Amino acid sequence: MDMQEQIITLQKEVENLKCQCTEDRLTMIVFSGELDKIIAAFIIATGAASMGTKVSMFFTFWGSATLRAPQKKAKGKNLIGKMFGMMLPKGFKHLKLSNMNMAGIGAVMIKDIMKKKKVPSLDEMLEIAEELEVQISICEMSMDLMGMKREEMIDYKFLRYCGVATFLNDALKSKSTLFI
Amino acid sequence: MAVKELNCEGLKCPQPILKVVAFIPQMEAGDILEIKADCPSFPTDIKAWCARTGKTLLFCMDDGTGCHSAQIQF
Repeated sequence: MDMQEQIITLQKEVENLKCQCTEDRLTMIVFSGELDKIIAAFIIATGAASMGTKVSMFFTFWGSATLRAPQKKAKGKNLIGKMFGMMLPKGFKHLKLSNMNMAGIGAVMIKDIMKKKKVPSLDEMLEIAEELEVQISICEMSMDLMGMKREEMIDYKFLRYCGVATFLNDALKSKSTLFI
Repeated sequence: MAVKELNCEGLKCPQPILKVVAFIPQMEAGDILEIKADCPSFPTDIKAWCARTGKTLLFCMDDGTGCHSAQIQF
């Protein structure tokens, strides 16, 4: 009887440890919605995924607005939602640079240089990320704040909508977490 | 063994989880906490919270109107 109790307590202990030990995972918080920062985020994410690390990207605030699909539209938005929708860049094409944007000239130049240097564009990087099974989570609350709807977000195989507890459960198990 | 109720309707992420945590002192081992919440991220969040803290999530379901009810055994 004593033995059995000991085994049960040990089993519980092991389960607890399993819940809390780190795995080979990189979690990224993509907070910014600027071209250069999103490029950096995707290069690091696809790079890490190609090295065999699991990657989760958590898009929140300005970041979540960049994941709207340009061709999709959502109905039933309120005034504030419509305003946010109009003011924020829709899709990767309209993103601005965080520095030296120069009314959009900077962004065009960077995209041109990337093409010349054969760096994949953001749309291509998203496809690569999908192939490498990078998980993208979108913060439900920031979507709600800015009046964004699920039906206007990008099509992506490993997309999910979640809250801060879900994200933290991933992040606390990860070897490293980056904030961009 | 008691079933206690916690209403988190109208609260947004992460407040339902914070409410659950604040409720812990009133729970004893084996007690069941029934939570009602209408935050869309509540189902994934409560699942993750239970996995992290080692509590048993008995069920979490949508009643069809966007309101979720979940039961956790402590």
